[in-house]
Amino acid sequence: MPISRDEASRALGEIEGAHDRIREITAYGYAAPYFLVWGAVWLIADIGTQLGPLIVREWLWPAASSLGVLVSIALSVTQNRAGRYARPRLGWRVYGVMAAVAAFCVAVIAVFQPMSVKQSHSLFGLVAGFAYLLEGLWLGWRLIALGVALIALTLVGFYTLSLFGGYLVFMGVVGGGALILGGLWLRRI
Amino acid sequence: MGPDEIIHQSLRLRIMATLVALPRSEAIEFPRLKALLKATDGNLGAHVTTLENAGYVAVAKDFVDRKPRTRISMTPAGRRAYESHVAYLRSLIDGTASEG
Repeated sequence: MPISRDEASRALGEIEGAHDRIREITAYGYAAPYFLVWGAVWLIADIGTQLGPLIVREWLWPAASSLGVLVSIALSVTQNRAGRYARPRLGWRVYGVMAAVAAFCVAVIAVFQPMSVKQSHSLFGLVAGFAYLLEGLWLGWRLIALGVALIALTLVGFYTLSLFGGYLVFMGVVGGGALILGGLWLRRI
Repeated sequence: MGPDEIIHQSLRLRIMATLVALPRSEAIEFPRLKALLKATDGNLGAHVTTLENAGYVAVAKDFVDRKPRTRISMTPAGRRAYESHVAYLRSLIDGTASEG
């Protein structure tokens, strides 16, 4: 069976295309549980902070996000099974981006304080949305769509609701809910 | 080292490239593979059968919630054949193997 160099080149291109597709699917599979975990954290912490008893409001976000970090670490340990062709190319860089985003938010809040509760919550929503959008540029368009949705919903909440008019409930439901729905969407592929 | 005529056909090559990219020993369900490759039932089924007959893939059929399920995975022989074929293609590009 004679194979020309052009034909070999085309075949290798087809192989690379198939590997890229699997890599994208694998990346979605990796990302999905993190969306579910952080969606739940956001949902519970924001709604609890707005509607819960005074005694839990102070520690709910730190406690829920600490739990989220622990669960995320456990997830990353169990996710090291992908075949060598399909392992997402980013690897530790995904966690690096997340850590940089968190550090950036803390630094911005430190510089711009005093910030209102609405401003600081919106900042986290916007920056998280941008982080998803940027990671989507490498990992696939669905993450871009989720990032854009998160940014848009955060802006809608900021400009249309007051803090005591249900802003945190809105952010919990749409922000956390968007992440949960996004996680389910990514997992379905 | 030479070309593998069974693997070289375009859809069969993409089937093998997809299977080899899965975590080791993991199988993929037929509808998912069909969606990934944008193939039709009949076309994909025929090429999977060709690969199965060559011993390159294993096809497992069972029932889940009373619905039939078909899962396809790459065999060790299939992995070896695929990697040998890809090495041949690369050697053609590198010029270390001759065309034809």
